[in-house]
Amino acid sequence: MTSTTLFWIFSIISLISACMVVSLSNAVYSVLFLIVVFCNTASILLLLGAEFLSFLFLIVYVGAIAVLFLFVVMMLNVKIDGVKINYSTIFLIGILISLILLIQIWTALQLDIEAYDNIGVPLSQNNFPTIISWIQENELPSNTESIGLILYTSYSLVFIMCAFILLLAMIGSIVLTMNQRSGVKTQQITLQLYRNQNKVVRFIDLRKN
Amino acid sequence: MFYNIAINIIKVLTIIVPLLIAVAYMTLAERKVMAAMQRRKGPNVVGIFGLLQPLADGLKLFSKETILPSSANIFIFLAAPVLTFLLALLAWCVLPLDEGKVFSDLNIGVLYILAVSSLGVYGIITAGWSSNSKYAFLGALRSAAQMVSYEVSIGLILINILLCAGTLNLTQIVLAQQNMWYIIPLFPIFIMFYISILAETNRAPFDLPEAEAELVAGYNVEYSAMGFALFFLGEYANMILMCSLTTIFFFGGWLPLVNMLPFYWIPPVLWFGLKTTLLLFGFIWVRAAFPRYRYDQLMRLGWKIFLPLSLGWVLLVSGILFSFDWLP
Amino acid sequence: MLFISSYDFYALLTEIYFLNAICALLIYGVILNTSYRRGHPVIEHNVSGLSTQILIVSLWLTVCSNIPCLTSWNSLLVHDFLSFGIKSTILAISLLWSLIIFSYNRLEKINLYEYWIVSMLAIVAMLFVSCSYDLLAMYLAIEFQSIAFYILASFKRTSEFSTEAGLKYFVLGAFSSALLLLGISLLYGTTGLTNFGDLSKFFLGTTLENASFINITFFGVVLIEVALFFKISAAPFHMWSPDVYEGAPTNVTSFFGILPKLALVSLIFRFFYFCCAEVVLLLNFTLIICALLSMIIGTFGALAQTKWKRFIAYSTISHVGFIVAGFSTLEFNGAFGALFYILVYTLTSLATFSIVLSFRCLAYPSTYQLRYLTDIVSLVKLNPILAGSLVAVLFSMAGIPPFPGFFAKVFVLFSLLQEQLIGLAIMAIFLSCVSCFYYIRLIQMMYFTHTKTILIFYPIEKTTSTILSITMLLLVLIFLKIDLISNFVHCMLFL
Repeated sequence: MTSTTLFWIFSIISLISACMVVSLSNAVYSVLFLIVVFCNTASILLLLGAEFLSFLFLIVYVGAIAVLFLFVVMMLNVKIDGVKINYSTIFLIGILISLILLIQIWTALQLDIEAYDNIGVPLSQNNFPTIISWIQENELPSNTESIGLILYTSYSLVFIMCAFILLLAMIGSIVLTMNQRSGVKTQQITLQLYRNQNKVVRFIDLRKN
Repeated sequence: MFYNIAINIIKVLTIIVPLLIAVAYMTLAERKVMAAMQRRKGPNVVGIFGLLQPLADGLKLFSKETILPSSANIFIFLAAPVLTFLLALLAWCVLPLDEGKVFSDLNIGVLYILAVSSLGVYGIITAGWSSNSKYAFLGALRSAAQMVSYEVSIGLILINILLCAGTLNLTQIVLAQQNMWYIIPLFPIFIMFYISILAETNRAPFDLPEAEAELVAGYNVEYSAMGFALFFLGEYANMILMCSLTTIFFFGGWLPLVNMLPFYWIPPVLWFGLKTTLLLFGFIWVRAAFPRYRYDQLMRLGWKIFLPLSLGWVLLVSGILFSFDWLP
Repeated sequence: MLFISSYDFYALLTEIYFLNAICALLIYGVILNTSYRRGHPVIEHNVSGLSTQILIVSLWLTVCSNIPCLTSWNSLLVHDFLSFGIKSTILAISLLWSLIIFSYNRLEKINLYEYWIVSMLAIVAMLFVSCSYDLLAMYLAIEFQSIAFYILASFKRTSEFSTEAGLKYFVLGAFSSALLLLGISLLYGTTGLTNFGDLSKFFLGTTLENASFINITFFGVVLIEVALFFKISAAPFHMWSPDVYEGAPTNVTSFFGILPKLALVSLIFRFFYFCCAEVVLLLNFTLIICALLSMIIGTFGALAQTKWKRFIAYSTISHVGFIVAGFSTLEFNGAFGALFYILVYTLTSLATFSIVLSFRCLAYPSTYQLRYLTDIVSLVKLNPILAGSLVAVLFSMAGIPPFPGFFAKVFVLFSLLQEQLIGLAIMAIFLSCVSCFYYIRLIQMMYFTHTKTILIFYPIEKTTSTILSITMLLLVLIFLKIDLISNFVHCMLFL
């Protein structure tokens, strides 16, 4: 009972805040609602029993990516009343496309859930308290372990490809933003550290000049 | 049902109340220790040796007027200190004080701690933004950048420990140190971790977010009374949390120094408290002894020194563990 | 539990060499470029030479390897004649491409050596795209490639056009990637499979009666189709391509124009003809619509253009229309036509870009790139050989008989007729007639229009002219030995 209720609560909150992300005009509020969406999604993952993924989701998306988002959006200082988008031009097309998508998803999903019922896959056994076999639970590898076992063996190629994608993204962001100017007075930390008093303080004979 | 809820509330209170008392006396200890180091007396008027000083401070803050800046974003302005305080308390529920003495024995406790501490940035950054003041905003930006940077190296350092212990459960990490505390084989990592948590909790010498000289008081300039008190409590609770984590990761948690008779008599919880207190003393000592870092130096230390070094340590540790077949 | 055998490494030998070499190159570049002692030397030229060398070695590695027909890395990748052929073509063409770019980079003072690193990574991503055999590997390879493209498109940081192009490409590309992911997750959600082979086996017995899950798989496949068509800029999803082609620096535009379609077309072939063949049979009409739309938009869009790069972008869209038309037959003849077309298209666009890149005008003391179509007025008096080769290229694009473009169009049209897609075939012929008009208009401009102000052309560099002559020879003389290409395509297709 509780997990279904929690699922509904989390999904409703995340849907509402996702709508808020799109519709709000203040970008900072949008990002804050985005964070709410992330947190709720992580909670849904937690309900599904994917605790490792859920916490990674929190750490990576909320703890790192959204912070940087917020950081940038706060510093941008966008004037809200500056741009007025004429919604009437995109309104019709938008509604048309979203209707088509909705109908597609609706037909697809509806038929499919029926099919699953016919096959008899026990999707929801919420009426009965599920009995957990603790002996089996102990034997089974945990979430973390099973991901580790599969990611570094059968799917190692995917892992390596991700690594190269990240390397590429890093090179790209450095290339596109780093401005190597000559003649900038930056502090050379090593030079500062290597300085010692014997070389700096010296006697000058003023008379000779 | 009701019984369960009541039990849980009592459990929560048994964690929170001592924690808050600890925070209160932590402030007193900080002032006393710093005073002693600077050849002063410190607070000594209220109560014997000033023991009632924290209570007096708390009462003063509680009775003061809450000032809401007129151009501030009220909702976020009020939510930010609450969020900070809440997150500081939240992390405590996976911290084992003794074997079994833990609110919830998560099998991914380390990840939980990382997640909660990474959420901690939001309290600060939203506080700075919502107060609509330049000083507060600058402090918040500095603080967010600093915390995010040092979180990276903390995460990498933790990977070393996880590699050695082979589990993400905090209790099992402690139990894995029964033969040898991790500070002995991983001493350089301990030093890095200690410096990183100094930066992560915005403590001196990395207390740039509240650099008095340039930013007045950083992100909490505009806060008064309880808002300020909540930030304060959250910050100090975080310090204690980080020190207890260091105890768990490097000093064998509640395990006695040597598993012999005289040490064995002291109850494990006391061992835990003793180690944490020593580390906290280190925090105060550092504050009294070192001047503040410059911001670019701080960033350089985080990204150019700690990050590559901790990555290298991950490689080294995993390589050693793999080649000697010591992997748990 | 060893999941990886030595065969897996053997099959990926080129990519492993390539990636290691790029990493070495990157380290070399970083160390040398930030060296205080050496005074921060500009090493773009050096790195470009080294990366050409990498391309040569990896081409050699690919061509000389025994072709193992296997699926490797837990069947995330497949190695067969198709991927072998596409890989070696990509490497060969990118070798030629890198030689064209040398002089452009030097003249435009593009001093960032990272240009080569990023484009090399893009090439290796294409190699992965051409041999991916799993939805996961496909997604990652496409993402890898697209991220490199976003970076390349905005590479000229100081230019507003370039950054705009990069941002546009990035936003739209991210959107299409999201669609791809949604499609993949729908497919995975219904079937629980991600492997192409498994999926094809799963769909083997599918009929309309199993409507319960066919609907959702339709949706998934359509979404994946949309994303893939976006990446090759087929018609309703082409909006990014003219802007990106125009905004990006010309060396990058040439890269976009020549290479990525090759890998993506092979992936589309694999996905439509093998992975979801049974599902796509019922989705045939979407392919036909896309083909028709891209031909129409490409042809009529190109009519209105005044700038070279936009013009090329639109003509690319119409060519893509032909390729999709070839696929829409869902028969092997059509696939043969499409793959033949893409090979010819790649060759032709290599020639086009080597010509466009050599349209440099001298305005003492510097030189600049010509941007407008009208700049080539009376080119025949300035540089008759360049004009002649442009004529050959344009004739090939228009599909005038002795040139390979003609054969490509013929093969596609034949397959369309064979499959009774007569309306599409008639439209294709009509539209290529229209396109003939504007190709020939350019020739008229070069040869028969006279102008009073004459631009002074910068002499073409040796490397560029070498590549130009090689591609020209291929274009002009290949009709004597047209079975070279067709045999190659046959080899790729039949296993």
